[in-house]
Amino acid sequence: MKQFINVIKFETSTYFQSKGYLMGTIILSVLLFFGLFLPNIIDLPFLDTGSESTVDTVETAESKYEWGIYDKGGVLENTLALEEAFPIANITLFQTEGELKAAVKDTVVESGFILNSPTDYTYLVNNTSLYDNTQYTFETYYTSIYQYKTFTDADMDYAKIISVMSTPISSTQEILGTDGQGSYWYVYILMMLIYIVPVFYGQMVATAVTTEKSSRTIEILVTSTSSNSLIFGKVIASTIATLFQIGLILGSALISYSINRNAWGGMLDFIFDIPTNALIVFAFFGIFGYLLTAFVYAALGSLVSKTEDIGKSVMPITLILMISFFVAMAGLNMADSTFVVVGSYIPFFSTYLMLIRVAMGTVQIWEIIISMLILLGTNIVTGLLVAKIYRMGTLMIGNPIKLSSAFKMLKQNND
Amino acid sequence: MKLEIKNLRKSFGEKEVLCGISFSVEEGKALGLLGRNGAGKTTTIRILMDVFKANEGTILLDGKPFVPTNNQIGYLPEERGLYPKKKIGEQIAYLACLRGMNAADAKKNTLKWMTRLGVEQYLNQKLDTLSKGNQQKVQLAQTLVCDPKIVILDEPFSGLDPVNSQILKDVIIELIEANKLVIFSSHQMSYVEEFCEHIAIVNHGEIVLEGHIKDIKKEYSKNRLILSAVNYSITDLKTLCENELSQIIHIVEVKKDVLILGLKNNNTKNSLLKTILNTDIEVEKFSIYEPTLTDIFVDKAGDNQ
Repeated sequence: MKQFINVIKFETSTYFQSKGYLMGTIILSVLLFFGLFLPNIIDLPFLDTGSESTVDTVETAESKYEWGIYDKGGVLENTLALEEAFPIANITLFQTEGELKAAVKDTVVESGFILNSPTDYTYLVNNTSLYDNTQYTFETYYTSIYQYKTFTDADMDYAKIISVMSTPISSTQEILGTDGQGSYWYVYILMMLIYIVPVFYGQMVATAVTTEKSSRTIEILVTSTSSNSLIFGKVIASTIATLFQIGLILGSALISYSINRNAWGGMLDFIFDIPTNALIVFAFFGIFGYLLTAFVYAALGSLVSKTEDIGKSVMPITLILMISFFVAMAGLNMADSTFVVVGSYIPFFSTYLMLIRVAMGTVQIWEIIISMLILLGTNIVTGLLVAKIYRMGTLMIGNPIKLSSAFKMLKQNND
Repeated sequence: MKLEIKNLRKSFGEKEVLCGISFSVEEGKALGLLGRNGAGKTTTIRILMDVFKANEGTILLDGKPFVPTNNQIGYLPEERGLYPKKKIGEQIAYLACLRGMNAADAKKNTLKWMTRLGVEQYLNQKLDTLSKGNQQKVQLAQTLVCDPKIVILDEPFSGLDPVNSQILKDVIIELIEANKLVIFSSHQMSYVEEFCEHIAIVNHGEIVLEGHIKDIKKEYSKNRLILSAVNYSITDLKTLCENELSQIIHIVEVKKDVLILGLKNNNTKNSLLKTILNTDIEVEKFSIYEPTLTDIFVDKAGDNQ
């Protein structure tokens, strides 16, 4: 135990002495802390305040579409006035198709429409774009003209019909379970953290182990104390360093947001207002999910002798992390589906899926406890197995060893 | 304290690298484990340090199974290495703590050994900023930092210049005087001869010779004599001896300027001398043969074996 604590102390100090680690932590924390003060310093256009909405209205009034129309089929005869028919655009009428096309070409108008019949038109545009919704907007109003004409020709009161059809229905939502919609964004962000942190820090654990091999320190270490102390100490130290860094960065953001919440008008509540139960589940599954990943990274790091071989060596765990992340993304809107429920018990997947279930679905406390115990047990078994691989990989200097070969060798050693 | 290695066997795949290694060593004495490259010295030491498990065999300390982690051992591996980017003082103290020392003693001993080895000025420097020789001294400091009772040094002299070799030699002599049990492997016979009472020569995974150097040398010099002549070249002298003295002696070895002769049957040195004096050989050298350790090593582990 004493040696184990010594390893943790030494390995943790390695992180805290690393300039990259310290600078990264400080810069990100400071950026987030002061970044969230921005609404107090400058006006942010996207923030919803009274004065800004006035500006929006003015802008909307000023930014009407500039449309040109050639009424080939006489659609606009005996119908609504142009301003009433197309309130969102300044309309210029053209006498010929050629004139309209020239105007569109010369950008005198933004878009042109040839009205062939009440239910048929041609859209003229210079360059199309993915985000062009002009046609959709035009059709909405063009349909109104058709409806007006049809109802009026049938001697029906158009205004009354429209009023009936657009009567608003009032409703109140009462959430008895969890607010899946409200939870979406913070779950999404926490999932990104669960994915990115192990990939980044796991790589650091693997590099630390490989460096011990390449610098030949490992033989002195394994003859000085048990490989269990070394590997568990190393992984736990990396977890402490990770928690400290993430904690400091998130903490500074949370504190800053709580100070500046009013200035933001509560706009970021959907990210920062995380329910306690979801936070607890995120913390437990996040930490033990990270530990599990770090153990695997350490084992894979011990199978190579050169740091340049790490990328290839850690491919299996990177793939597992990617697959589990994409499965979780697929399950984000299906919190109670069978695959999310089953996956929430399987280590690697449970880290994401149990969070989704707690934040967005229905889950019993015993289910969470069972999943926690499975993750905890997997960590212990993996840790002990990894310690054996680490010990065995100690003196295998040279070509990288495949994980499958490592297991075979372990089996042979045990036999 | 007595460490006994009995019948160690180890195979890597199909290849058997140790075929029943046995030797013993006591406190206050140094055992020189000698052998050519690939003979099995490092594997033996690594089994001793529990880096590898032996396929067969036992290691006993005072008659009880030897568990390295239960004893204070100073181990200098053949593959030297420490953290290149960590401060030297910190990492040596860390290794001492891993071997069971408390932090204060670890710090004190780090300073003690760094000073003893003349590298105390580098305590707060990173290892990779030091020259190779000074890095070797730092390695030795980490080996001895926990005041070990057993010291195992794998090729400790490799890469050391004569000055640093002398420092290491002095340290090993101090360790022996301090009643430590010292085992070290080496190719450099001159060092081994200087402070080892006991040697074990390993060849192809077997101990081919073990015992006290004095006894071994005595055994080697028994019935062996050196002869050279003023009036004959070595080649002519050899021919003469084979023709005229073959009843009394056989030629053991032809050296650059002497012949090494072995006495046959119950012949004595005096009778040989009398016979030689009756020939026309004008004796230049006639003495008892005293083999060097290199001679013994080459004889036991050379290509002819």
